[in-house]
Amino acid sequence: MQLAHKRMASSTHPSAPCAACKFLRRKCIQGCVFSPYFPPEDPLKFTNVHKIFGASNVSKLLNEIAPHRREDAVNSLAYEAEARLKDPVYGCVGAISVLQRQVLRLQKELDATNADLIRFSSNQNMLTIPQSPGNYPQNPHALPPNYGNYSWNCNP
Amino acid sequence: MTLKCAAANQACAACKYQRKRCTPECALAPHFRPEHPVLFRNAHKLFGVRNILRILERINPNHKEEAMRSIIYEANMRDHFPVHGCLNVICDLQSQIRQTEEELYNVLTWLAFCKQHYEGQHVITVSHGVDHGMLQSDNEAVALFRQDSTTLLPVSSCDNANVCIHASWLQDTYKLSNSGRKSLVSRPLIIEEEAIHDHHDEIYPLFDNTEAA
Repeated sequence: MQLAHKRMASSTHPSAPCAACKFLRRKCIQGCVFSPYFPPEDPLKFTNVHKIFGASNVSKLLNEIAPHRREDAVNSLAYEAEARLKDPVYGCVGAISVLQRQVLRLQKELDATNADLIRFSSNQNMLTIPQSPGNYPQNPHALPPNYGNYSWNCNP
Repeated sequence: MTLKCAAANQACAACKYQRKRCTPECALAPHFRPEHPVLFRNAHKLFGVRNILRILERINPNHKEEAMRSIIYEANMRDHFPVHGCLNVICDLQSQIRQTEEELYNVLTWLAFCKQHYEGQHVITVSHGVDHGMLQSDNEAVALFRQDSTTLLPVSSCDNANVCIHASWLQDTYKLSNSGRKSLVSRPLIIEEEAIHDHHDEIYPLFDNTEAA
């Protein structure tokens, strides 16, 4: 009886159930919102996402996103879920914090080096420096754009 | 100071959203003040109440506030960037780092060249026109610099705490799909776990009020 039921299920959806439906122990129907993004070969991906966000939330999120962008959305959710499992306190925000500090450190380094260059140039009265357009920045004080209001230590 | 619903005589944002009575024991009340309902709305949309409570149960009580702030931040990022969420921020930061490193390298190269050039002129002046030490070309100056470039660039993508947000995961994760779009390729996450944990105390001072207006 169970075998017949399984055969019926597979006849409506000949491929193996996606990792999501397999985990949730439900029939994987055609048009399942999860199946393109959670293949059965990678069950851990859905397990992690479900643990942190829940299948229902993920389904609602995906339904709000255009179909051609859902793969990116799922992969970013998988990334965040895995980060949160590895670091329950900070998740992927820990990585953001580290990167922000690197940016600040590099900008300070760049400022200091630019100041050195200006100081050296003015001290030595180097008026005949040959121009090397490929190496010298057009605006030595130009900094990469700040991330603005979305940095971790600012109000979002 | 912990905001207690009974004392404030007002339900916290979480209980208000769920339309239930807010008790003094409400675990979410300290983190979701009633005047910022959007924070709970975003957190609820991404994580759900049960998952948030589950995360809080698993961690040291001393880190609960930090954890909630990171959850709120992550949820807000997902609200701003529904497709990529925090990954948007990470990619931007990595791009900034690459840009700044390149600019730093250029300036250091130029500074080294200027110094070499100055030294060459100084030697000529001292030796009354003898061509000692004068670099024949700009390329020689850059070549001299590049031999020592690693010592002149103290900062790299991996800092002293051995934190490597492996850029290759993110650089290579975009590939052209069949339709010609760029899409993320899911790959195993590589974050140096020990460094992130070691930085818990360092990350704390960077926290600021993450509540939206």
